[in-house]
Amino acid sequence: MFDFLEFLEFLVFFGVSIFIGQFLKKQIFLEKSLLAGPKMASWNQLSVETKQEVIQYLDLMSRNAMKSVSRLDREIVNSVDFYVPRVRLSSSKPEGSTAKSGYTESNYLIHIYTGIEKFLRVEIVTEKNGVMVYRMENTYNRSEGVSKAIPTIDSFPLAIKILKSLFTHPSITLGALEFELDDLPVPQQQSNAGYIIRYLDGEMFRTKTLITNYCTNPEFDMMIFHNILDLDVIEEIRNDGIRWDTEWLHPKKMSDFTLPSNAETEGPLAEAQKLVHVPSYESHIWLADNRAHQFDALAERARQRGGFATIRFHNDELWVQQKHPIEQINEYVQVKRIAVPPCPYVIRWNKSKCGYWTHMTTLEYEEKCLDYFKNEKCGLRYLCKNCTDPFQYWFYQQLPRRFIHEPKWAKNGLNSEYTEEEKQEILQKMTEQLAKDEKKNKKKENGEKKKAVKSWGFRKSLYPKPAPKFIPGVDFDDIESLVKQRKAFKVNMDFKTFKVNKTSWIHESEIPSYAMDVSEPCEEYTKALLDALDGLILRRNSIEN
Amino acid sequence: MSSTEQGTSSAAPAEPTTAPESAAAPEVPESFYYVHGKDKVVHKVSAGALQHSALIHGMISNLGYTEEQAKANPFPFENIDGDILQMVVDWCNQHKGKPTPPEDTNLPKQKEKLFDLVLAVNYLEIKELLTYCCKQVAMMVKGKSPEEIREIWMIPTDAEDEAAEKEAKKRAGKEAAGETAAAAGDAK
Repeated sequence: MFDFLEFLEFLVFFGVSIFIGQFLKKQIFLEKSLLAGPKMASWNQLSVETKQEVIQYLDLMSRNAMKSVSRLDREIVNSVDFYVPRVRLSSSKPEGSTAKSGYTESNYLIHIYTGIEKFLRVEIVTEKNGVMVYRMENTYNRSEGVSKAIPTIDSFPLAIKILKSLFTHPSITLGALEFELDDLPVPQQQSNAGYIIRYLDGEMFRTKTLITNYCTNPEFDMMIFHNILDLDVIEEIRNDGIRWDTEWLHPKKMSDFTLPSNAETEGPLAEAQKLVHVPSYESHIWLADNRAHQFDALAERARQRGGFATIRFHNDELWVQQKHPIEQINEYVQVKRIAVPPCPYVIRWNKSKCGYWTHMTTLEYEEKCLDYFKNEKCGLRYLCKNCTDPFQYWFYQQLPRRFIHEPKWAKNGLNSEYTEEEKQEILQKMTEQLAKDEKKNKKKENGEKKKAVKSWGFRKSLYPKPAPKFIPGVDFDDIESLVKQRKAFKVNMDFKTFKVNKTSWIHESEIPSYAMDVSEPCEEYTKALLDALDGLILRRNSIEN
Repeated sequence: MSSTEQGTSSAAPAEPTTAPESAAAPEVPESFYYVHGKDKVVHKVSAGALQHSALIHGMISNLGYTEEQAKANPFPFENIDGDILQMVVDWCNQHKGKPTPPEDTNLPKQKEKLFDLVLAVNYLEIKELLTYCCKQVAMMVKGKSPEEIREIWMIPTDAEDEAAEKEAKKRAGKEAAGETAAAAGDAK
């Protein structure tokens, strides 16, 4: 007969035996490894799990350094996930350049935000025979960083290749990937997107947010969205802009348009929205208190574009002035809803413990967004210190300073109504304001700077090398010798002959598959494309080799 | 052999010892256990402090290792140096019943000691201390180039690894050939 107690006893004995077995196995393994290895404990004696835990605490550049230590360590690094809050690619045309100069002559900046008040900057500046690469950590001052000359290479492919090498591995997730490129005609933007896709060579970024600004058009956004982003990771697309002002150095208000992913509307933003499965936002950040209350204009634009417009972080006076019944729509939010037919708009004034915000939309669209409105706990987005991620809050608080710290690169300013002189005046006032702010925090900053250890690749060498000089670049006039060395191709393009540096070529036949997947190719496009890619397009039948 | 002692003592039937609350109330006497490392120096540690080690805590609570048995047979950790075990015991005592702070500045800075500590802590399964140690190990290579990391952590290059592997294979091959020859000689 089955004896339950005996069975229980057996189970206990069995469990204890396994435990002891595992303990002995572990001890024997450890003793063996200690005997087998060198007397002094070292990295190689750690278990893979412990190594992974150590890797988890490495910063971005130490991870990269570790990848070059050995094959095994590279595999271990690649097995540990890493999060980078934000990465930005900016372009800046050198002075005196024309639209025809295209992207190849531009300078590029890769700005990597690794945490609050922590960032790495890689500036790639086009020079006569190649590029200068400046690397800085937690500073905008080139003299505090390191620089290197790289001959016979173009800035753009180099910038994309750097991004590819740093951020396209599946273990890396980006909080936001921002493109802050020059305001170029649509075809040139498309060709730029084509080049980005080409140079990434099938690799993808795993980013939660794609951010562009008013300079880029929806076609560029869509090409980037569909070709270089992991669609399982992306959560939203944002188009950010800032209205400069001298009143404050941090965002005071935000007005924006939101298109939920189920939007069925018309307008430029909606056109783009049809092609994606995530919500799109278009935000204007205001640095002044008194200029953002353009309710009528915003409501009208919301009607035209679809979705809804929102003003965030306005003061309580506006809430108090609305003499309408208060509705508690959820645990956190009270609403005053105003809809006065025949006016087609609905204005929803919201209040929570975090602050005040107002949604404006059409009667028809309100119904579609009702669930969204009802579930909203805080409508202040990344301006709310309590509800947003600390990095996001810090980032947007210091975003306006971009115009002061890096005026050549910043392109998300929306003050097109100002003349250049007026802009300089505003900039001057902002700089003065910043100087006052920084004076207060000077002691603290100095203390932190002394402590910080610079990342690999961003610290000055202990054995300073002579100032970087360009080694003689490729002599393009000696085309025969270059062809022999396979460093260049001679290209016959209609009436001209171009000599092309091999490092940056792209074949004409490859362009349509990359650059024309959104717009139909047309004559204008082809002309602009040829202008943009002057000297870089190879015609298949005319390569002399 | 320490492992045998461990096995014998742990197999002894005894009443399961429930781990006392870390912040022991004054009226409840605290249980103490004993551990020793390679140097055979015995350390007396409270059950509350030992709760940090999942390995020892598991042995005490699952195998019913009583205080009396523990006193007679201290937990032997022959693979851990005496000074390293002392560090671990000190840390456990310091953090007994306290929430662990995000940083610990008392960890050793010398790489040899730190790696020994990591091995010991990993073996004893002290999660919080392992986290501190791993952070400290990571800090050692902050800002360093691959060559510098290799030097600091004593990591051979791939070429050195391959050469060592080849050498080991050669040696093993020679030894095998020698054994075969000897066996053939014996057979004759």
